[in-house]
Amino acid sequence: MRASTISRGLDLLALPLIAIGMALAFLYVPGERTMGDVQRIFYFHVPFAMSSFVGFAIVLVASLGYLKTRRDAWDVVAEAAAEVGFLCCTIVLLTGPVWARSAWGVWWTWDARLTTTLILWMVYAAYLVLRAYGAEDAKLKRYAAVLGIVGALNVPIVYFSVKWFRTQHPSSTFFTREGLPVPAMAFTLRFCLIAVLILFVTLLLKRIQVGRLEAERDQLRYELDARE
Amino acid sequence: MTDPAQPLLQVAGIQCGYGGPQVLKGIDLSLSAREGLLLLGPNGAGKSTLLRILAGLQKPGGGTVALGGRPFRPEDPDHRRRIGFVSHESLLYHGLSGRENLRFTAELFAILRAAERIEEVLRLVGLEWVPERAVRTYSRGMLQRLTLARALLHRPALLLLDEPMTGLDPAGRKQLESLMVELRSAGAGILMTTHELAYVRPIATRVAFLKGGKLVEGGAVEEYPVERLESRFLELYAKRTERESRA
Amino acid sequence: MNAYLRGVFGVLRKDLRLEWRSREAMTAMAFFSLLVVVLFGFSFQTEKIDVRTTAPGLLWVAFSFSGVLGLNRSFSLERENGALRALMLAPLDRSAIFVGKMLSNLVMIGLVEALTVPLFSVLLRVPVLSCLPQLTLVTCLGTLGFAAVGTLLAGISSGSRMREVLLPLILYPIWIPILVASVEATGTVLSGKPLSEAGDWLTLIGVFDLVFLGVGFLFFEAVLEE
Repeated sequence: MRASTISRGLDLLALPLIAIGMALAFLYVPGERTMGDVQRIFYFHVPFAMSSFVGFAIVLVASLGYLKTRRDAWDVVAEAAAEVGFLCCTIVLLTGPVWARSAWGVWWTWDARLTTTLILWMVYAAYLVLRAYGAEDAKLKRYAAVLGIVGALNVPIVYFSVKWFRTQHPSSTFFTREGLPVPAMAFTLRFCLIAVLILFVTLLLKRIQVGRLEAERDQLRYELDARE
Repeated sequence: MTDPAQPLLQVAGIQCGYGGPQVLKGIDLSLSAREGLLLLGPNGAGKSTLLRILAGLQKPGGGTVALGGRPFRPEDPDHRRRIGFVSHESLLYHGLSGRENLRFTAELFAILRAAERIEEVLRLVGLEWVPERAVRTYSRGMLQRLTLARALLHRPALLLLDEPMTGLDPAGRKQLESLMVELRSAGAGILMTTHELAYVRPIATRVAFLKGGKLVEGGAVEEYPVERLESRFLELYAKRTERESRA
Repeated sequence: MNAYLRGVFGVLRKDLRLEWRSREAMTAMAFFSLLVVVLFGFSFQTEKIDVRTTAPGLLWVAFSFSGVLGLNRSFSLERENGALRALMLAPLDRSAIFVGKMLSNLVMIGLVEALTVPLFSVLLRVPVLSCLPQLTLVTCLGTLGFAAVGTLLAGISSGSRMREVLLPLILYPIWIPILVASVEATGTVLSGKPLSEAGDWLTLIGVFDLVFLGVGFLFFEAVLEE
């Protein structure tokens, strides 16, 4: 089937691409003048940040889909996207301070973009807590869907309001060419972005598969119990 | 308006399994006015689930429900007016008194001449003397009767009763029994689940057994005297009850 | 429309009447709010820290904590005997239940806030009389958002296995943006500056209020279902 071939293909691509990306970031690209070598984390920090936002967008769409159609397939996608997105967000929050320390001398500041990411992380965590300890099956999926929608709507509002307020964070260097002095940097960043996104999709597809198997297992277990 | 020629309740292929194992796998039944259907099955078989679906509290995974010939839409307030639901939960606010709870229900259902109707219903369930204290001070029996009163306030045509006899003493059960018979002869249809097989006779006109998510056996209540009900119950659900007692 | 409003106010009146009977929630909320103010007052040793900068945050933390108490209480009463099911069985628009409960939560939290502010003003020596109208407006806007998203999420937490414990976990992350905006706006107002200077923050709160009201209105039904 085509879907599984695509999935297979992505599986095989993901790790090599990441490896190449790391090589580019740590070996090929010239260092930034002011921030030193730790700055190279940037080439992964930004892609993971974008992935975590993509993750939440998927949670939003899948949650709406579930509430509309009540088909479990949507719910499996929402859960998978939340888990993988949470992972990406955690990586962002771990790499960020490492970079910040060397760039600005502090591990953390309460600037807008950092705060948004922290909020996003906490909303993800709340979603996962609900899914872990929430309720029995059908109710849980509905609750999670509603929480997913509320949380996901939260994030863009905060993100856009960030643009109105001054921030200590370097502004969107990816989209403004002048931010990146050397073309090699732009190339590395774009390459890493693609590599990380492919990794994200790979993990997502795997997690969806696991989710489907879990649902099947639950059904079988129930049938077994109910067998007279 | 309801079409009197159509059965009060018509259920086809109801499945329930949203987001979890399938409890109901295709329920078909129909109930007419003046009929009483007794639904039997062990705990966890899905009886309560079915009743909740019919009450509009839960969405089925598939299948159709029709009220008086028209498809049942829980969002339709007119449909909700036709249904009275009683479960083992009181569905009352324990901080308010009995009459206050009924007044609130009357408000929600926009019942005309509410005060009169409240007194009427209290008489029906034998609670004319209900105290003005908060419901949390009531005895179990009083609570159950008040729950019934709440369900009857808006004169529903279809009564869904989930274990209505729990907590009632023999006198209370007898009263409930005669009340149900009275309501049934006045035109209501009753769908009931209970484990009190002895009190079933006058209320129910038909019996059905739920097993494996489907209705597997049933018939007119005359074919099922109490002993036969008990023995069929044990036979059908033997392995289940055995496992339960072992667990 | 008439029937809809009747449902909303029926739910609202019932909630307020229930609360008036026992006054349990209001007492707990008010006392807790006061405790938070006092606790922080002690910890910060007001002489050493510029109260002006910490006061707005403190006020809203007190509101947030006692607000969760109120929300939890409001729904535990509905869940404990299945009374919520009775609301669902009534010929009532499900979104009317949301609006009714949101309004009752708003009223209760509002009352507690009205009690807290004077105490806060006296204990921490922060003058509020001069900016009372502006402060009221900011508080109303912020609390509206809290009540809207809080009612929706309290519906979820009350139906979950973890019950009350879950509410702060899922509410607070989502509440933070409005909290920050409210604190900033309150700070602006308390230092005597005109409302227009807090305009950006107020707009942000307003946007959140609309979004949360909309989401609650649309999705409360999904939360109520069995």
